[in-house]
Amino acid sequence: MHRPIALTLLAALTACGGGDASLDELDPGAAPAEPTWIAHIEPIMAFHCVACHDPDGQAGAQEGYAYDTCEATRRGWGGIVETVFETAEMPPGGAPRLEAWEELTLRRWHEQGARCD
Amino acid sequence: MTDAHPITHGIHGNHGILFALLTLLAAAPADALPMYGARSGRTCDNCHSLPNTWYDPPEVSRRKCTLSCAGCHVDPNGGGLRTVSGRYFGQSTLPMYATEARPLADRHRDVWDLFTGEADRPAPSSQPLADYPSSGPVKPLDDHPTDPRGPDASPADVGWLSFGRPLGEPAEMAWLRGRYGDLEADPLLQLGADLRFGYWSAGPLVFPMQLDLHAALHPVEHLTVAGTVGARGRKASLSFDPDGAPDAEQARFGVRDLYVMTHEWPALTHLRVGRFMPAFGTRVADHTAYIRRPFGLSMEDPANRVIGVEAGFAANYPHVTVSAFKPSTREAAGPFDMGDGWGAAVDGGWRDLAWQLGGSAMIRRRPLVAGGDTTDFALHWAYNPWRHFPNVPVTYLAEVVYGRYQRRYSGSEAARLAWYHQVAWHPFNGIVVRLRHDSFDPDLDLRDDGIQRPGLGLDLHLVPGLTLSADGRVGIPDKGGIGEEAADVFVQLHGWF
Repeated sequence: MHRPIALTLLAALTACGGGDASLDELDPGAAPAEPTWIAHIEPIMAFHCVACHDPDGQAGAQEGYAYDTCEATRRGWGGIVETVFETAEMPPGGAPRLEAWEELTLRRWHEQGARCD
Repeated sequence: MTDAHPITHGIHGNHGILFALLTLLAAAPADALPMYGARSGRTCDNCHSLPNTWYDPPEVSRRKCTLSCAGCHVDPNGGGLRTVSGRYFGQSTLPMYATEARPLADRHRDVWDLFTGEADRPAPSSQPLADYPSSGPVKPLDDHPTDPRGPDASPADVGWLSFGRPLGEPAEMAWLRGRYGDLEADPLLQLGADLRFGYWSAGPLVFPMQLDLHAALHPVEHLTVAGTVGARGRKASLSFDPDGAPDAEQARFGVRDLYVMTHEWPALTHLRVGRFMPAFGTRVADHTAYIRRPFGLSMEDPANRVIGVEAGFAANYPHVTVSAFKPSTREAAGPFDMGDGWGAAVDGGWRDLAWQLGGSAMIRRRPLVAGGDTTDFALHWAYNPWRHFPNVPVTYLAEVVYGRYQRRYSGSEAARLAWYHQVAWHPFNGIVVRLRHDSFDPDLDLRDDGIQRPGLGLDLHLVPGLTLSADGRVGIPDKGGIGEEAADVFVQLHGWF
């Protein structure tokens, strides 16, 4: 089927690249090998999540998800996997999504036991 | 190399909330500022009052006419304190209710004409248009009709926090008092401010976003010292005390810009030294725009400022600006504390009455901990059919940025690409409907890491100095597509003068 000219033009004017590798495959050193909560995970959560998912904030711990502490993040890990890694609907709306190195850092932290130090 | 998050490097804990708010939520929708330049070539009295007929006008190279940022802002690269032309634009062209004479082309574009049926009435101006004839015999300067208060009238009745006049003879480029209605044409001191208050539906959050205070001292012709201090917004309040309570530590109140500039030379040439944002691409006010933030160009982030020297010109119609600099840092104790490394930028192009085309390049050479080496290129353009078709009040601008950078931690080289398109429709004075789309691929070698972000916005420039904006956006990541939380709405009240 022929694509309408307008859609073709729009696609051309918004085209981005499309690599075929994951960061772990391409450049595993682009994320910390042994991430820790204090040095790596807390800043990521604070930047992307805590503005809303904070019990002391205006939004509170929405729907039970709080990511302001290590323990809370461990409890809400399933929500991160589903809404951040799989569907990428979080952070919501037009907010910036996690970059590849941030996602890889989170995954490694959890795979290595999600330590809180 | 560092283990810290690049955005929150040097901050911990609750500090991150600030940056989250600033960068995630504060998607300032009043991103039509470059649009003003793109659309203002349709009529001269956007930027200054009449007369349309000049007696012994200056040579073209010595006029203030430009569609570059320098036409409306003290900072030649745009943003912050407005020049007298920018103030006049803000009082005559921009708002729904004008306090200076409307541009003649806009006299019959007020929305309330729909209800009053008075499409032919004079503009809603504080000054009778009769005082500013649009045509007539050319008269000598000494007998010019443009200042109805007479040649010895005191400085502006409507100062908008502008005071006095520079020492010496009147500046050549501000030679005609009354040229900006009641506004002082060439003030000694200008003060200004920008205050933004935001609401974000996805939080939901209501929070102050920004308080910037501007000042420009213009003691003699060709010399200006200008600066901006600002409080950074957060969800609870503005912070003015970086050493105060923990909550206050989330934000900073500090110097954004501070520079000494010699300017008003032929072709609007300037040279400045100090702290500023280098010229690169389209300086949209939305600091979350993918053409700005990922490339270290967000106006909100103090680490994006530089300390250096810049030279440029913004004539009708070519413009070029070059700069060489040292980077600032987020941990800087003073406005001129510099980080390691260096950089250089060039921006140039052609800003015509109905179209614009330009390009930019910037290199930064820094330690990886400070962001690493980057090399960025931008192509930006605009088209304003309103110039040729009065019944098509539409303006379009766009930009594409390609950059190479070092990946975090490993330092390996990668490439990123961002697009930005915006179409603005101005159905009535002071009302702008915006259709926007931006997209970003942060690493061209990786799969499913890009995002598309279409949006629809509305700007209501209610009265001079007050703008209400609302933006609805949909974030569509390559991975996952349109999710349940894809859409958000951002509302902003922007006070400015």
